Amino acid sequence: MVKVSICVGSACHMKGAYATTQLFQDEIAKAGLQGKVELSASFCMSNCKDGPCVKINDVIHHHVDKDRVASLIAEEIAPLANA
Amino acid sequence: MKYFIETSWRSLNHYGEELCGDKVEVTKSDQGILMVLSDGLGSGVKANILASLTSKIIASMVNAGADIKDVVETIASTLPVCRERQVAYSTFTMMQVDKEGNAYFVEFDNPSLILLRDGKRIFVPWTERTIAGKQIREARMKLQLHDIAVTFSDGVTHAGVGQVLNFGWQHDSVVKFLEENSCPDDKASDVQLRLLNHCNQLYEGKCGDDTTVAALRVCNPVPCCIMVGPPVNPEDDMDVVNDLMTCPGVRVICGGTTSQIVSRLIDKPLTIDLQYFSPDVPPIAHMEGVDLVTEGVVTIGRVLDILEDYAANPDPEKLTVQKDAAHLLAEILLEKCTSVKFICGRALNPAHQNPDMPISLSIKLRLVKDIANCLRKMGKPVTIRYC
Repeated sequence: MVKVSICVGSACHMKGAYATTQLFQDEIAKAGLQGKVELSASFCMSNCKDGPCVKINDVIHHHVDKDRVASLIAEEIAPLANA
Repeated sequence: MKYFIETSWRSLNHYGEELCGDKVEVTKSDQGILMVLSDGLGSGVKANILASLTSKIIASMVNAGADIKDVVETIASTLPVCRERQVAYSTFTMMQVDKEGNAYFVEFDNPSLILLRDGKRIFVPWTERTIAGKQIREARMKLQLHDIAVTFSDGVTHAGVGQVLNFGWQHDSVVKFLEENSCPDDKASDVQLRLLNHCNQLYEGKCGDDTTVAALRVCNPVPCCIMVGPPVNPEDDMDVVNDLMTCPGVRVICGGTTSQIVSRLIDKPLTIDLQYFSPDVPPIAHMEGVDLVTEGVVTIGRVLDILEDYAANPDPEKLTVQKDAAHLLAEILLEKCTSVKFICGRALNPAHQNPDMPISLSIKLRLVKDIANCLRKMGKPVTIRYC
């Protein structure tokens, strides 16, 4: 199971965490990864400057705005989930 | 038993007037509360001055321990005489209730106050006496838990006169309305709003007289403690968290870092909802022993908007319909607690210290202060502990 956690703290919220969160839920379903990815929200990851932040397992990815969601799923999450 | 006396009041101005000729003065002390409603002769600025003077004199003198005889004599010899009408006149109702439930009511020429117990009007043992030529009614009695006392200006009993109702709404009809519409968990604000809104309907939105309703209710105290931000000195974390967790009423945490500190110190996991109820407000989180966990500055900024909107246009239903973190917190502040204590941490969030961050500590502190002031204006006692 791949653990994906989206920061919804103040700074990430202001930088677009809402759109990121919505899109993650849609795209993970679209990629057929529901049973393989555990999606959750998180408060501040202490990387406010580079938000929105998304933690995949133990690695924090920065600037994950809505344009980066699909590529992040394809490049990082899908290989881990299908490994 | 120490009760909390909840108060709520609101006025509708005479149609076309900027100032209200009714005035309500509420003072709270360690002993209890004093609520004075006064209706000045006429409407507009003159009535406003008469009513303000009367309610202020009564509140100041009674709180300083003066006898009602001296108070009425002072009013009689102080009020300015109207040049047109050659009289100095302002009615009043005074309701003083201490934390043991001992009530002292005094009325002069206002419609008689209505005391409700379990949704039914109960008898008030009035006695009459004449002071400075004025016929005063007074009563002393013991109130019980959940008793509600409602007083109002004659704008209520005259509502609809010559419009919807030929002779206006009479006192008996007001009693009937209050009894028929009462609910077991009514708060002072529910009763006040219900009655005032009905008057507004009878006037068809154009009040023919200044119309004021003031209500008080005897209830058990429900304190609310809200921790906003971590303490400036991490050594104080434990003390502050203890302060929050020993609050016997409602416990709230605002702030991601703050909730993580509490979670660590009380050893309870923090789980954050993925579901957004509004795109404007980050989701809530859950922690055992804490009633509500929210994000910090964005949420409390929205709470202030909601409170200011509510102060201008109170609609309890609007609060309960929306389920985002800000509405949940606003509902707690307005409807679910009797007093509020903010524990306001002044630590700088290191993650926020860069030019890209639109959030600063001063914004957070100002928001807390503004929320406190807004709640105080609505009659809720608020304290702030800075740490």
